[in-house]
Amino acid sequence: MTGLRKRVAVLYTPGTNCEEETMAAFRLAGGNPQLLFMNDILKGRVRMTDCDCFCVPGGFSGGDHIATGILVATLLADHFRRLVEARIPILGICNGFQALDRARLFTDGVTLSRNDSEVFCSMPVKHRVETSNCIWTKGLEGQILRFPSAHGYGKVVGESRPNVVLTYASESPNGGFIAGICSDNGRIFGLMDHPERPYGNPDGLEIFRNGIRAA
Amino acid sequence: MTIYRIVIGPKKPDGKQADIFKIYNLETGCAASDLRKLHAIFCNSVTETVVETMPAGEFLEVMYQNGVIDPEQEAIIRACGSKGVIVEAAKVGYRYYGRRRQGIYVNKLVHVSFTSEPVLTTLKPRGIRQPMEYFNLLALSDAELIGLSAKRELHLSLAQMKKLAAIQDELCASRVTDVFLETFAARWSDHCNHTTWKALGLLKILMAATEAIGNPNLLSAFVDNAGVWDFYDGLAILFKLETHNSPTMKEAYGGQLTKLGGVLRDIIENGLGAKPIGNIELTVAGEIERRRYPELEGKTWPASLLLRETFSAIADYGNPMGVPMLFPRAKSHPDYSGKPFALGGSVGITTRAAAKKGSPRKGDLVVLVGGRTGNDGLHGATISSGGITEQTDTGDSTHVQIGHPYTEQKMMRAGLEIRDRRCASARTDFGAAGIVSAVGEMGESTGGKGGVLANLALVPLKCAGLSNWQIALSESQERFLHAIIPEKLTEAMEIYDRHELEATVIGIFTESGRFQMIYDPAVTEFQPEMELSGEIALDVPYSCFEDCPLPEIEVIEPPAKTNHPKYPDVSTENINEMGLALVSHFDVCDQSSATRRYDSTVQGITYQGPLYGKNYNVPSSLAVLQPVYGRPYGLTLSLSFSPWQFEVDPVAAAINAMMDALATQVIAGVRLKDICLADNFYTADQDPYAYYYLREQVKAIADLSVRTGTPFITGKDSSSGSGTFGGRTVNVPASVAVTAMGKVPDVRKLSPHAWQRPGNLLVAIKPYATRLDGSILSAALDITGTKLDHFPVDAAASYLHSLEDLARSGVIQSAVPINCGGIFLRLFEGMEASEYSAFANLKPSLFAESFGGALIEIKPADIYRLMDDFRDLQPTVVGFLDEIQTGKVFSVLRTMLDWTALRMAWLKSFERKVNHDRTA
Repeated sequence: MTGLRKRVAVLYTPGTNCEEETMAAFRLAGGNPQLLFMNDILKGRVRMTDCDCFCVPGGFSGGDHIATGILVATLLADHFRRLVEARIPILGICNGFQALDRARLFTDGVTLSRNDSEVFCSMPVKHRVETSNCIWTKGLEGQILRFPSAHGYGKVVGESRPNVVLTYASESPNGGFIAGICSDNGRIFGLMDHPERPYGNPDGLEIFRNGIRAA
Repeated sequence: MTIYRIVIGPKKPDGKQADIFKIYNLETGCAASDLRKLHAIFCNSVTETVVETMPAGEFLEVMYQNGVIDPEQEAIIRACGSKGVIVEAAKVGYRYYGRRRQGIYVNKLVHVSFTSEPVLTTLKPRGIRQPMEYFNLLALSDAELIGLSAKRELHLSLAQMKKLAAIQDELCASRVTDVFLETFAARWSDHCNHTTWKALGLLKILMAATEAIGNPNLLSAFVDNAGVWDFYDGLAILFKLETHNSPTMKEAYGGQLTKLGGVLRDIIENGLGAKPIGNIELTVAGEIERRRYPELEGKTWPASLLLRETFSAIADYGNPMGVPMLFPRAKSHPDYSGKPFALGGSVGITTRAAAKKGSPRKGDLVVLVGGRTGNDGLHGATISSGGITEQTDTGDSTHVQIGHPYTEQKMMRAGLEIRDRRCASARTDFGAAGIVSAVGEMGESTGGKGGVLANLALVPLKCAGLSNWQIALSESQERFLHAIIPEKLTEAMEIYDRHELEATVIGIFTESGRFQMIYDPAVTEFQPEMELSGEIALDVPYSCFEDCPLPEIEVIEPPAKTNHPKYPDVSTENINEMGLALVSHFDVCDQSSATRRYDSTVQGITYQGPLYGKNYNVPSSLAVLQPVYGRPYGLTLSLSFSPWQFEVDPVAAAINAMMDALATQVIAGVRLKDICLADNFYTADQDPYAYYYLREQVKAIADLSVRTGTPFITGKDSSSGSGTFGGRTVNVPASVAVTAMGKVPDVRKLSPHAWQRPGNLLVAIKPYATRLDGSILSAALDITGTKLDHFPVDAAASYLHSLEDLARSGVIQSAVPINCGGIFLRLFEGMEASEYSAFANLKPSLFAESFGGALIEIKPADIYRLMDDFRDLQPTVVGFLDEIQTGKVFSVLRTMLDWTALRMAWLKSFERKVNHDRTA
């Protein structure tokens, strides 16, 4: 059965801590998720492009040291480039979004900064799906999706206008109004909050289903 | 080697001068021109800029001392290496200008600060290895023995020192080593050996109660890191709570960080491995405004600072670990000003097969995994045997431990693979007394005979120059000990490597019956029988550790309290005022700004988290996890602790705590037979009556445990709750936190906390308390009570069984326990969490705290059934819920309370109090 399902590579780097629920969400959404160790990628044992769909889940990769997501973005820079060239749909959740941001996979001049409160914030949040070309939210435009937030560096800032996919429809955990953005071609989606939580959350599953469908 | 500094500052589009800079200090042999390649790593060009010239003006720059490895060093070295720049050491500093300098906390035990340009010669820890010291104890007088104990901070009594001299004689040794002394001091410490409890005969009381109950859910109690309880489908759940009072008093951030790290390790390394799935946090700080102990002002931590450091530390450790926070609470009480109650806990899940404590076999290898060993945390075990004073508070920087969750998080994952591939025969973590405790205790059971040999020369070090006793005793964090089966060594090493964990074979388990430690760099391979070589640091039979002379403890019964305070009569005239005093109290006010700092939904298994209600700001009394994806099974958790009750009557308060923890579970729908308990006692070594109270508390809860059939399966005690500052000794009241862990087959059948429907009735169950002594209101009014209402013990078992029947009857629409703040606070919280008004016509006392009772919501049609079928629960109608008309109405005895004022007082109090030292 799993042979018919699309292969979803879920990146694991030391510090990743949401890989299990992310894999469970992809599995529920009809995918065949596999954990991909960064160490194995760096040692040439596996390739990031050997999948139909790629996800960088949440956590504190590299311990969040230096800056959130920077270690993954630095060490895997060439691999991310090949992934983008292969037009494989990519999802970055929370710390995964931060890593994709530092790998510069979104609009130039846009980045993530510290929450206005200057502290981590964990709370339930409502998100409005905006009209965009994002493949991960296709058909969901206008809907309100509920899933929790848990981050300390999640405010979308910058001089450029990002490709906005999600906005906050309730109190913002970080002080900004943008909850998710996508790349110019709509195939790379980054969001700070957690559609994979709790297990089986129907609102979040819609996003995972879309990604698999588009792969 | 040259030290280069790369300075990063924020971009200021408005042209204003930046006032905070991050400085990367890099010790490298590369040329300065190579450093440009690193700018993209250290600087986010959208929001930051690389600063070539720092601004003029007064500044404060803070970074870690040389002796402390910067947690960011590993990532910096790796990231720089990927750009071809080899960095040997790194330290991150922050420089503050102008008003930013205010309120920056510089912990002199771990930080160094500069107000002028720093001159850095190296970033690496330095040290000269000291030779092993030798002592002939047989030649020392009593005074010299005691002097030696004091000089080395061994905290050993004269009887214990004399026993060591006798052991030297038995071993026919002409002298003993410093490692010998330190090993015995650690193993005989209160922390490792529970000497106080043994002397009082207490441990066996609780263990006997647990054995007598014979609950079939019990898989492991009091023998391993954690207590283990049967779950469903071949799984087991486990929990462990521990205090870190002295380290937190010494350095709050580091102490709290390592507290959580320690209990998480206890779960990770319990049995043959487990996964942490929930965290527990309770800190009781001293008084925020020094009213009872004004002489402490300026002599020790402001409680508000200790609390802020606590929130940061728990977030900084728990969030990266990816373990959801289930139950965070902060409290403040004057008698915890000398030493706080810093309680942390974790719950976990594993397979039933891996639940029991492992035992190494002869020939298994001693493998040290994780963090490197440094000079941090030395004497952590022995200092638990002594109190804390200004002298110990500022004297010995080696007590400070630095937590590093990144390493532990890697082990959390790798440990499950080690478990599932059956690579280890036994596992444990490194806690107090480091190698001495972890290796020594594991080796005690080898092959049923005991025996282990460790080579200290092979232990990977953070810094050169550690002597043998420092390597053996170091409490460096995030280290793990695995007894690896030789045939599985390659497989285990592959797992560690994949998870980027350092792992080193440092010895072998033998059946020599002896605990042996050597220092010999030439010995890198081990056989079960081999000659000792190099420096022989320790070579003693395990039997020597058994005869620890116990202290003679005098148990003094305190005189009865005879003066009873008067409280203002609560009437419709002053009820609003009383309500304001209550909801503003630190212990019960809105703490959600701190709670939200902890990730409570990671792992995707949280069914009922730490907060609930429409504003997500009311604290849950019962945490519920659904730990297996797609399965309805639930793990439930409750905790009870009121310092105000313990201050009045420690024994009655212990009964109330236990009843509260149990009733919170049962009223929600957890079966009594499916609940187990944890105890965490805390007494003051300088309190002459502490041991009396402790003994009576243990007897009381053991008795209640047997009566209710709910066993204690894990616990810990700390008996050093005294602190002397400004010439004043402050003793904590004899206290015990009771935590209950339960299981339910289907979480959907549990009663919610939140009110469900207007028109429903609110009914108090067993509102037995009428006195205000020990209540939050008494604390808010600054009145110390002397007589505590407590749950009637004789009725406890039948009450809980009836409560169990009520929970299954279908009558309950929502339920909360009546504990701190009494019925008044439950009504307030119910309104805050819902869209309803509440009308109360109370017969029972509003503010008295009936621990063990509950406030339930029922449909009006069920009132007669409740009154007829559950008469023994003393159901008492409190009031009803109604729709909101023009605004929320909180009505008591037909008096409309000022809801807005109450709400604002509840919302605003916390921020004001946790910032008290900044505004005072």
